[in-house]
Amino acid sequence: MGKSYLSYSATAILQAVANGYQYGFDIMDITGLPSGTVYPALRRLEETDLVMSKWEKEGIAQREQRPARKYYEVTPAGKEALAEALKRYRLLEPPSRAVSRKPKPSGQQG
Amino acid sequence: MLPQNRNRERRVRPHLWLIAVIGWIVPRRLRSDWQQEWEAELRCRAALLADWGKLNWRSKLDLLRRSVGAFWDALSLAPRRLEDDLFQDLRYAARMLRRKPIFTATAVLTLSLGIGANTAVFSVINGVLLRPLPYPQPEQLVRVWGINQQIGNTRGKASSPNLADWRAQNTVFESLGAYAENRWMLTRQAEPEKIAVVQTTEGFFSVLGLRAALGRFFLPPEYVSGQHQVAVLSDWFWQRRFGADPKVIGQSLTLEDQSYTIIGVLSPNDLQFPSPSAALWVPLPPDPARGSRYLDTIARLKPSVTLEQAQSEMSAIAGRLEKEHPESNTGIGVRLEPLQEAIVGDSRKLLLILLSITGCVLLIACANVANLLLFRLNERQKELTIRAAVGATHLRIIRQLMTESVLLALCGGAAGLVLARGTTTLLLSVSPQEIPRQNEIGMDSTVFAFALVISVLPGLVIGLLAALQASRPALAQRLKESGQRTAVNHRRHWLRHGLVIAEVALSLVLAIGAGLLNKSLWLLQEVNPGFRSEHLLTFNLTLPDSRYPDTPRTLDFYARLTERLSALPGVQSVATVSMLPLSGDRLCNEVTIPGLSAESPPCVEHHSITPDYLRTMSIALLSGRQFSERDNQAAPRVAMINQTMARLLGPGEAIGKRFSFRGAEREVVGVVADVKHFRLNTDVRPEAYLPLKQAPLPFASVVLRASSEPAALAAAARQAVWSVDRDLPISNLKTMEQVVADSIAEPRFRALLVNAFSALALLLTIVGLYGVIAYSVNQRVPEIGLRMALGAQSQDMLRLVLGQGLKLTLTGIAIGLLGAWGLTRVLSSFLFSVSVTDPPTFVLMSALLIVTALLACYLPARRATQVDPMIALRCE
Repeated sequence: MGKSYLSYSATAILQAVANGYQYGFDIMDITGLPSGTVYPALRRLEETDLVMSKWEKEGIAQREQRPARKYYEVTPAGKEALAEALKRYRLLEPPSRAVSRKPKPSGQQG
Repeated sequence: MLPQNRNRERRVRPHLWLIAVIGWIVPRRLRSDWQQEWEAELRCRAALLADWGKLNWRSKLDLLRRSVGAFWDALSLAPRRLEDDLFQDLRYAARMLRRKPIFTATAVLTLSLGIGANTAVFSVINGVLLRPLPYPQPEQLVRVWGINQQIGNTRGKASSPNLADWRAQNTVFESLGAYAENRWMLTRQAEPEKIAVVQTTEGFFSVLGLRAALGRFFLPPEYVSGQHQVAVLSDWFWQRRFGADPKVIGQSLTLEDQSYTIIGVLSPNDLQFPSPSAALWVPLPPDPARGSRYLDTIARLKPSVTLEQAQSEMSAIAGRLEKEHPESNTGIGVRLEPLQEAIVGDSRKLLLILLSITGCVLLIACANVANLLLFRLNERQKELTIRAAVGATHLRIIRQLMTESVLLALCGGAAGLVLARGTTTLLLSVSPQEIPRQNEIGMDSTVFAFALVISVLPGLVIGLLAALQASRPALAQRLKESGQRTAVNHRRHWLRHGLVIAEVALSLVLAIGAGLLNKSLWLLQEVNPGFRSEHLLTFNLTLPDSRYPDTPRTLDFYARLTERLSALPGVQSVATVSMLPLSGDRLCNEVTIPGLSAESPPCVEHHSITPDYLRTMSIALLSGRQFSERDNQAAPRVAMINQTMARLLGPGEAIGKRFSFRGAEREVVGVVADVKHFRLNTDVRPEAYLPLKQAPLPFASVVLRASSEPAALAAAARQAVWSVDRDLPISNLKTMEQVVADSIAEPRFRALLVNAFSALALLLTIVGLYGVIAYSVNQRVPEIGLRMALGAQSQDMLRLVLGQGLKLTLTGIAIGLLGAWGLTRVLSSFLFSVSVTDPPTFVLMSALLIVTALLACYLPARRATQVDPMIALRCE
């Protein structure tokens, strides 16, 4: 799995997930990538077991009168792949600086 | 949240509505998760920002933009659904087909016959009609016909001075060239033989854009008479005669006793023009006679010029020439035709008719396979019902069945391709010259694409037919029924019967078409040619000018030849004639008849014959006398004429009347019976027979009447000719019966093809009919058992089953007769003295179909009579 070649955008998305941006729309905000890129990339990452997805608890969704959201987590294999990919893409911003701009990831997990 | 609520909000919020729509792309099993994920994100984001009503337009636009992105997401998931389901369907279909090998084999074989026949005919059509000519920019190539309004000839030739004027005056052609085809004698190298030589004018090679593989083409000075004798070889002739020797340039050939230097070899990739048999090309010097038209002209249009523009300019030029040279050009016009159409000519119609016929064969094959599938479906009812019961939708079942039938059709298509290869080869090997461009016929991507389309399309249609039948709702009822064999689904019944009726109708149309062609061929063979063709051997000779420059030497040759041949054992009589009947050649010259207006002198075919000709050919002399050795150059000019010419000379006894021919007056001394000279199916024209000694010609057909098998004389005859002149080539050595047969090779070829395909159609139809009746008997076993138990006799059962078959057949025949009535007229130009609605043929073919149909029904009917009531009833 770790051998699979990660594109620049996939690396950025994986890094965003690793940094706690777990929802699709938050990942779009933080990476600046359009939804048409982020979601297909997430599907591929999930297929290759670099991320895994879970549904948030029904209770939260009911309280907010909407369907439950899906969130993504990096798997151990994903962490390895990310570390490897980051070596290749040195230009990616370090996570600490990238976090500070946009609204905090909304909703709670688990 | 309640679903209604969500729906209401979706209506208001376009981004949610978009997600619902886009969701359709996503595979069904992933769809609800997918929709939920997107909807939750969008709504969460909307809620985070503000209530929808209070959102500013920028946020709304942002949400909309994001939801549009969902489209790409959905699209990225879409292939997975296709893969999954299709793969499943295919695997399942392959398993189903493997499980029933006999059913599969029957269906594949049936389809392969239909697909193979169509692909074979299409590959011919592709090579002949569709594929462009193998020259650069072939669409610019045109044939320039000289038309003669006086005699209604629209495909005539041109004279050399006219050609020169066309070339000088036109502004529409990039190049213009002409050629004349000849058969010349090649001597002094191996055996003497006649080869196809094409004399070409300037411009010929550049019009076609031909390339020389070795050497060069002719230079302008080489077109001037007598200066140079040079030749360009075709690739095949170079290989055959010179073993592809690269040092051939500069060697010489002896043609018609003149030496020609080889200066070039044509590239093997170029199409031999004008025919594949062309062996070499030589320059043709200009000829000052404006009235002698023997050139075939081709031209290349300038890129921006249309055919119409070129036609109008050439017509104007022809009009001018008509005024300038009224003595030779009155009524002479020009007609342009795209070269490809000119080459393809009449074969287009035959090929399209053939494709329609094979199309019918394919339809019949499809109907059969559809019926087979419907039977199978009945057996599989339980399986399908259970699949539906455990959740398969109608659409899913339809798709499954269509996958199966398409897979089946593709197998049939693959087998059909193999069949098509063989059929094409066979087709071309039995075809006479009728199909042009034969060397360009073969399998290419267009043919494969055609085969694919005619495999997949029927597969889809058959599958859909079967699927629509199978997926009718009423599950519970079907489950209940599935154990009962008496239950008859009437709708399905009708479909099956409709298919068989259509098959019968189609095969009747084909059978009638074949019947008409056969009757026409039979009538053609029955035509009395006016001579007796049995026990005759013939061959052609041409005397070269160089060795036979004058009349005495020519006549001396004929005299010595006749003497030698007569001396052969087994030869009863020997004669020569300038043009053999039914050989396809004719010589025609204008004669002047006293008392007949000189405005339009009739063209009379004339034959120079030796005295024994009538006796050798067994042509009846009706009155007067035959020629004798005394009718020589010193004697008064005489002629024998045929009955048609006798009528032309006016009423009363023709003997003693006179007519002028080539400036000399001749007296009629005999009237002979009409002979079909040109073709069996054309009317006899006025003909005159002249004594050879009074009208010597440097070419002749020799006719030998043998006392036994004429072909046995061939070797001796050849030796006899060579004993007189060692260098004289002999061509067309055949029995007269062969000559007659060859003259009707084309109608025979057509009849053969249509017969073969109609027989195939009939066979498939009979198999189909048998299948339906047998199946229905099988289904009605309990009913039949019951009837027998109640006292019905086996005769009644026979009548019951045969009656069912007969009803279907008669319905089909009624429709087929109507169809044939409308459709056979396309054959009219191929028929000889048979009407396209010839009642005996219609009746005979209908009867043939009824009889074969009854035979097909008889087997299942017999089974019905052998039903044991006890066993049948116990099955219930």
